[in-house]
Amino acid sequence: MNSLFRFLQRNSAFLTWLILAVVSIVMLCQGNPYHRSIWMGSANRVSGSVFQSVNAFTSYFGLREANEALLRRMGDMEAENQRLRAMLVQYEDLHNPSIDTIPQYHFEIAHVVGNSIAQAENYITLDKGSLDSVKVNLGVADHNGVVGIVAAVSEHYSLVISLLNPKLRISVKLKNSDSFGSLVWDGESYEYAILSDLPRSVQFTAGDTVVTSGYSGSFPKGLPVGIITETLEREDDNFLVFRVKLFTDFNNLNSVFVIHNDRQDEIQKLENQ
Amino acid sequence: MTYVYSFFWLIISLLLQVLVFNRLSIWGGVALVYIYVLAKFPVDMNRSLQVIVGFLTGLVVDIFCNTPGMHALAAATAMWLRIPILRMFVDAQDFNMGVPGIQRPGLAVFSKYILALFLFHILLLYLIEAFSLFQPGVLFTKITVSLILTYVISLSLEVFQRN
Repeated sequence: MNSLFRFLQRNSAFLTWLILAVVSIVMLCQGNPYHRSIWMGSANRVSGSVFQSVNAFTSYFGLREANEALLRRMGDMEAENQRLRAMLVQYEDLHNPSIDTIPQYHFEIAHVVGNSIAQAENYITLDKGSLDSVKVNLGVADHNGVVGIVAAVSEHYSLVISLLNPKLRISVKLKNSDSFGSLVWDGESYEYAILSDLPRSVQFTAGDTVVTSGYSGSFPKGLPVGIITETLEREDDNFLVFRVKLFTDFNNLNSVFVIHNDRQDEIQKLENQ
Repeated sequence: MTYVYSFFWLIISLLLQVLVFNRLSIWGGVALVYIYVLAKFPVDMNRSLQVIVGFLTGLVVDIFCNTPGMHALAAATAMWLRIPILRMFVDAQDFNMGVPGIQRPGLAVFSKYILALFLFHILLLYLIEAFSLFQPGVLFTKITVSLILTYVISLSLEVFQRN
């Protein structure tokens, strides 16, 4: 018994390390971001408010660029609006009753309080939580394009899996085609991601726009993602693999939209049947 | 008193780490200032306690970075091996130095000690990270950049403190 105590005393530092190492490894192995405790991440009350108070100052940087990008996007949307209005007029002439569509998606503004681009798995913290009806699986985008998907929410904050995280895979397609593939980050640069699983038959040219497919329900169809910059050769010959330059500037994220899909519950219920 | 001083600087370094240095990455590598403050904890501190301090420091960084366990494991291990690493450079009779630094054991030995400790910590940290995403080129760049940044900032702080 005495020698056991002496052994423990002599090796107490090692034993402490061993216990804490096991605790750390258990934490490391909880790979699924949806299953993690909200307290172990930046969206908990303490770290959320620390980030938020600092962000109150730093969010002023880069406003000029953000403003210009917004104006550019507004111009594009105005043009699109004009085109659609013209089409609507033609359509109404053909079929008399006016079209009454209920929008499926609505957008709520949130602010980025925490963000990283340098880690192997990057996350974003937003200043809106369950009290603002943010839920897990909602899509997040900014005025340039797709940002990520909500993984966990606390009352006042939410944790978003960034597109710069290999655990996020989103369903996308080329703007001028209906075949879809999936987009995932390869960890090399915060400006690029990899588009794979597109069938070989798809017609494409470098510079083609990549948009969301709308199949996941987190994002509406046609939300901009990026442009194709090069074709990559992979062993699997049946599918095309591209490098995509992302529209979203992850190094300078300030205000984003949380995308609420008003039919998400209905779709979920149907799929679970 | 030394302990109050050490913990005060630990908290300052943690705030700087999560609010400033984590945002200033160069090719994915960041300066890890908290390991410098950990390296300067008194050498006669209870070793189990050192391991616990390392673990908790890492855990705070992990919570802000959404990397549960990564910094905690690396920092706890670095703190456990800190004394053996220091022993490689300092003779047994000179070991009673209190807080290691530029006065004792001197700049030459201290700079070797922190280089070895930082290299160990940063290697371990990014190897753990590589389990979730392995890119040899990115891994090498991150380790190199992070080590250089951390080392230069730490040595500047050390020399600046004396003046």
